[in-house]
Amino acid sequence: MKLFNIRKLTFTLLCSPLFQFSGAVSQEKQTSQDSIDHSVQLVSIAYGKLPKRSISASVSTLTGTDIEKNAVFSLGNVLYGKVPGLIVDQNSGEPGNDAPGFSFRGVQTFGYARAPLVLVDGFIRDMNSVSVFDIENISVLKDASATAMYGIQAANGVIVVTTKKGESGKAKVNVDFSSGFQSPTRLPTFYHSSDYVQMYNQALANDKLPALYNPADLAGYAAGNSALYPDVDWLQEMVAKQSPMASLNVSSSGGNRFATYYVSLGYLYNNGIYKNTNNNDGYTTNSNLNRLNFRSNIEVKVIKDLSLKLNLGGQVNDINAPRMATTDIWNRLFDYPTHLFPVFAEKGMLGGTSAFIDNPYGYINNRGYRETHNRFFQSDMDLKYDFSKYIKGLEVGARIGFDNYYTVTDGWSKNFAVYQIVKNPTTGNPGLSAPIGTNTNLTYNSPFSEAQNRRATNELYLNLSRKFGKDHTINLLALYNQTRQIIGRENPYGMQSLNARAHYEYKNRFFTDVTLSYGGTEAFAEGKRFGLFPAVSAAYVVLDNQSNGNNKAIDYLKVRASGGIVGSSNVGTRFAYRELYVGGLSYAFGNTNAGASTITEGTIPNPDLTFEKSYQYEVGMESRFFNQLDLSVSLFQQNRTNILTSQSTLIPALFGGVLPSVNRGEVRNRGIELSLLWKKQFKNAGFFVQANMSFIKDKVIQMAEEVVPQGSEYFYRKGSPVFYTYGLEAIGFFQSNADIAASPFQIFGPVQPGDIKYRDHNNDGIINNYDVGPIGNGTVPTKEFGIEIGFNVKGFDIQAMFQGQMDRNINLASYGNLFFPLRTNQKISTFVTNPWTVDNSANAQYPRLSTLENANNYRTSTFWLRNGDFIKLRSLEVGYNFQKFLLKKQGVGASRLFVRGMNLLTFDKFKFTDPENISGYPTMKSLNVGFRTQF
Amino acid sequence: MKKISIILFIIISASQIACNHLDPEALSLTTRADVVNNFSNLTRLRNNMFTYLPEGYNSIGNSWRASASDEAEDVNETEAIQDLNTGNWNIYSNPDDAWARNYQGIRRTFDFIGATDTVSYESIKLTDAATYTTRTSNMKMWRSEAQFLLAFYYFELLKRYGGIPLIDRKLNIVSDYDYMLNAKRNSFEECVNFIVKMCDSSVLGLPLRLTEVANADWGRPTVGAALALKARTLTYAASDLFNQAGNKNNLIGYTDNNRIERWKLAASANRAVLNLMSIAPYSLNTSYSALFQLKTLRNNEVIFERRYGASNTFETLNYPIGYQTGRTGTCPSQNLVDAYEMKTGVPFDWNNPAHAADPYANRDPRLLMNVIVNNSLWKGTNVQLWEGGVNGRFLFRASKTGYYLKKYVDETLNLLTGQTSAKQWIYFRLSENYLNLAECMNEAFGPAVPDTFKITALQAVNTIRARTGVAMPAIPASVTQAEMRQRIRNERMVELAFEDHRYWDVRRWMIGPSTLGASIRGVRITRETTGAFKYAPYEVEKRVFQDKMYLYPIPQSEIIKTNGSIIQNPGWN
Repeated sequence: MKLFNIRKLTFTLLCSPLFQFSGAVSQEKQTSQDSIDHSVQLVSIAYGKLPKRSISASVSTLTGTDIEKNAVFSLGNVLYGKVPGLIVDQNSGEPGNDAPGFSFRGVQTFGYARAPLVLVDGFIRDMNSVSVFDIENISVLKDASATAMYGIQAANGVIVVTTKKGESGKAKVNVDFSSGFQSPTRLPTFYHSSDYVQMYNQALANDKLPALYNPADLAGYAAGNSALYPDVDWLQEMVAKQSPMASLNVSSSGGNRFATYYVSLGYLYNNGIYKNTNNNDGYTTNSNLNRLNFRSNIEVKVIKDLSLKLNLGGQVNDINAPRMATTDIWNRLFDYPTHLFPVFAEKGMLGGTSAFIDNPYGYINNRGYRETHNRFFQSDMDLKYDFSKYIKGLEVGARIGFDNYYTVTDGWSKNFAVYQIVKNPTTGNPGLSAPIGTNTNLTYNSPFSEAQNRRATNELYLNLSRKFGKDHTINLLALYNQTRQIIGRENPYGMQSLNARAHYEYKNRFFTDVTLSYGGTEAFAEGKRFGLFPAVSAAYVVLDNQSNGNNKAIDYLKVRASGGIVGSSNVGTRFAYRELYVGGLSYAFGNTNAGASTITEGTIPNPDLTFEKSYQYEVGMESRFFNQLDLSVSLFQQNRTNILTSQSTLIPALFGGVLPSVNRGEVRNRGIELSLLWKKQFKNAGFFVQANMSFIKDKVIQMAEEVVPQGSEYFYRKGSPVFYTYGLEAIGFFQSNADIAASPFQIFGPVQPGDIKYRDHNNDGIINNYDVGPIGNGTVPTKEFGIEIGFNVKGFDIQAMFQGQMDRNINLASYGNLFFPLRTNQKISTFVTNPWTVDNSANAQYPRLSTLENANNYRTSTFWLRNGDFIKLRSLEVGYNFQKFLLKKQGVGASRLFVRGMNLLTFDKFKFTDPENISGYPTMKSLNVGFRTQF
Repeated sequence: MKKISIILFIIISASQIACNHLDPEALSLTTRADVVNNFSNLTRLRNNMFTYLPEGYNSIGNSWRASASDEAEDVNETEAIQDLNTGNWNIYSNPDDAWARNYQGIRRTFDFIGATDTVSYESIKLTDAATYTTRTSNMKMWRSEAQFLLAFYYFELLKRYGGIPLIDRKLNIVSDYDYMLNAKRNSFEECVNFIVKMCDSSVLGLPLRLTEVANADWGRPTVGAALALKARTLTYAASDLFNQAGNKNNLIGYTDNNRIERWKLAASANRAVLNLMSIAPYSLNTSYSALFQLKTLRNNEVIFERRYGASNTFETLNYPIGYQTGRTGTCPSQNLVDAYEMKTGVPFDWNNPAHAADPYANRDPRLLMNVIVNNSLWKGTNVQLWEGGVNGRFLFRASKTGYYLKKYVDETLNLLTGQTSAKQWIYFRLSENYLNLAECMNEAFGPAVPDTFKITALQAVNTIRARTGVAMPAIPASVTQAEMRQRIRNERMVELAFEDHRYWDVRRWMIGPSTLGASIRGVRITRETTGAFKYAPYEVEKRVFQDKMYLYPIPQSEIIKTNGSIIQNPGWN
């Protein structure tokens, strides 16, 4: 918007679907914008917008329509599979805690920060602080040329979110309502008591311990659930089949010659999945989210050449949850035995034993609750003066952004007693034990977490945009940015940069950009704070048969290439150049053995510590065939250097100090990204297929590693991808004592037949940590894809979006409570099938059961590694668009009725729990009915 | 209007630029100047020097070196300490690798010395004379503590690795880079001399006994501590391991033949500790068992100790299985139990039917003070160590050897309610110096020659045997020097059990194959229908010991980093 004096383009801009609020959905507009002419379609880039055709850098973009099609609660969740190279990892479905994780173009570093920089309306902000409905578009800036304006923060990619603006014309009101239900995609299942007790006896026998359950017990459990022989499915008791969700959003926009506005107000309700949570007087312990958000984007012409933009946005989140930590709750749901006690020992008296006092029913409902209140407030103002009358095409402006975020969590807690059912030794009837624990009243806990974050950014910019003759266009942008950020009680963060970009166009066919950023942060020593980040890119439209109207097989072909250096200043350490003292270890003195206060030399200063550098190169092409098929391809390589790595392999330990990390690590990452759109629209019907995929592979080039003995060199990470899983190679189960005696000694613990046997990787006759090597792909996929398919007939349409990740592993050893049963008397999940026994040694699929902590079996090895590939049906939407004429009389504009399902299907090999979210609060699928209309 | 708005605009814009925007606002950082110039920070820096002293309890994982000597075996096979027993330790991995930790302590100590080099309180000499006097004398004492701690850390290294690089300053990562990469081990002799020198000079500034200082300083080193450290160092230095005949490698020991002189030197250093009894209130405690339950108390037998705040970690780990949340931990060996003599002073003998039938009767009283034996009273009930008993063999985590640990374990805690108690770990106590002296005198002069030391080896060892509550008969004057050597070694084993002596003693005596490499034995206890018990010793674990293990390997990573200028100990590669 500053880059160009684009009044000329304003008309096209307003007409483009980009800017059109989607309430008014018409046939054309709900399809992807990619088929729009590249010279018309405007794309947000760093500090500005350009027609897609004129961009010489690598940018992917999503429009508001794309986003609303997948509208879910947090913005991040709409991005699954949408942008090639942007890997989005789903987390739990807990209300208010469901934001996904991002990684950009695979793994580029083993350093501290891997997530892309997110800007909302040009300022660094949390993506989820903005309502899904307020988004005009999202651009993902990929190569150095696209991101270099953000220089020192740009190496992990940049996501630019732009909110909707008003447009002059008649005031419009949009209403969007949807409501529906959600339920877990998958929950783990566990053996019933009758199976459990048998398996437990078997495990005891394996451990050479006497059986715990006698035949009478076994018969009792076999007979089914009773007071003395309970069979409680805790997940069924405590997890509801479904829970409601709803959202309502109202927005209005309009304006005149002097001012335009866009205002919106949204409300969202998302209920948690716990059951029986309304039994307490006056409060619920269920987790839920109530969100209110507003936005007001105003643009005013103050005087003739001076314009002012003011954007205000806010969000109020009130999150309720059980008092106890979510992970603890789910650990109990997954661990607590089915067979020891019923939910209630008697009416109103919870069951339990002294070893199992946290009856999950009570743990969720009778321990109190906690409330988290988050408030986001965002404001930014842009004051721009047009100096055209003095110097043609010159604009000077200033921008200020001020954000505040406050979060506080209050807790109210209480305790509860449990009662054990004991068998009366004489009568054999069940009776109750004395209470274990006590029931207490609800008491307030002081806030257990509180943070006040602030950020202030000031920018000054100067923009010169001019055409020379018929063929030459230049745009020059110079921008100064300074940011001060306060995060809770941390020392304030500062950032400063001077950035400039020159864009040149020749005959609307050749485009080139040169970008230069000089920026720094306070984290490093003087002299190491600032870096210079140059990037250059060029694009050439080789073929363009579209604009001159003579359609050929190839309508359009653009090739582009770029190279540059960008940085990542968030290396996880600040002030490393300072000689600082920190609290030391403890040591007790005196006649009370009191711990003495200590202070010790901190990490040794490293005055040379500085930012990571990424050397990025990319070539790409964009093309259109037969006026209906768009294909674009990018090939890239990124060399990340200066990654912090330990010095302990260089400096002898007799140095004695805490060694600072040094900028010596290096990772190389290469990949290819494809995206394809095939779209055909006939008079009454049409279809589209949009697909994108990325193949990315990374490799550690340089990293400090401890020496390992000769023969164990496979232990080194150098040469392997950063997140490869390292572990032992399982080669089956020990079948007999003779087998054990004939095999190399495994040092992890005593082994028996039925335990996992490992390969002696270095052939030294002993299996220890030096036999650990790379065993699998790791948790970050190297291949990701998204496919979207849509049809429309008359007013009806249907669209489905699939996302998949390949070359991905699940390491079950990270989720011991689901896959390593009985160690703390926990349940046995149905993942455990066909365990090894003397009689079932040949076909065993699981090691022998044990009631002990089996350190030999329960460690990372190929045995516990599972294929984590998946394809998910992320969204499926069926809708009907009411044509205007149907509704005209009521004064209602275009309207749409739809049914939308999210995460309805998962195709994978794991099939036990969600492949992205193995344990803990489950991932949700949902079904919503919605309606939008415009007045 | 227009002009005004332009001017206003420029002013607003220009006002945004802050020149020093990136100067860190270091709100909560403590710089070196904050430490040097602030007395209370200096006290914290002083405390910090101590934090790298070795842990007493649970010093290696959840176990300790006692379970890697013939004193005991840890119940848990997965404890790192077991690597020492199975021989699974090498230049790459060593569960007791103390190389880095002690150099960390040395650096912290030099840091304190450096921080106080220039500290002066002259400015308050006139205005606040009282504070001036205390601070000036404090500073002298604290810097002497630093010298003592340097000696301590270097001794920890010396006894493991032999000669080590002696660092005499806080190294600078830049200017000392080349020095570090070319670091060389000092000879064993140089290291011993350095430690002795540090002890000697620290004596000048340390308080004679803590009666001189505040209650809050209990647990700090005194003159006694420095003398005891010197005495132990010289005793070790005179021992077999560092005086091997024909040794040419000065990194691992002496290469000369002046061994007798070294015994005499060590004798006189130990005599110096005993001499303290005339000026400071040191004496053997009247109760042997109470020494290990001192909690917060001060005891006249203890010369230097590490204090621990209230905890029950050690008890949880070492209470017998079946007692509350006990997890057994240390299982004392039959090897140790057999070392306790009969009350009459004759050795215990399984081949003696009377002994074997009731093996815990009429024994050296220290046995039952250190070890929980079958059917003895513990926490109000008799321990059922027999097969089928509630604390007996075959239960998960039940003792492997038929014994549980008693020494240091606080019997009075209720672990179910989370009760805790304070603890002390004794680094030096008087008893050791009697036994050191006995050893030195015996080696230098034989069992019964006092020379100029006013005490003979026999007298020294018999003082310990005669201590109140133990009252073992004196070793007869008729013993030969060789017999006496065995008696002294046995006395050390039983008196100092579980006090982190045996593991080192057997190394310096070079009796590894018969101790560290010998099988660990336990006792199989069966209860007859009559209620009587039958005891049958059996082998619990075969252990691996090779001669190279007398000294630890220097971590291979250090040898690689110094490109071989640090030389590995013999046999390790």
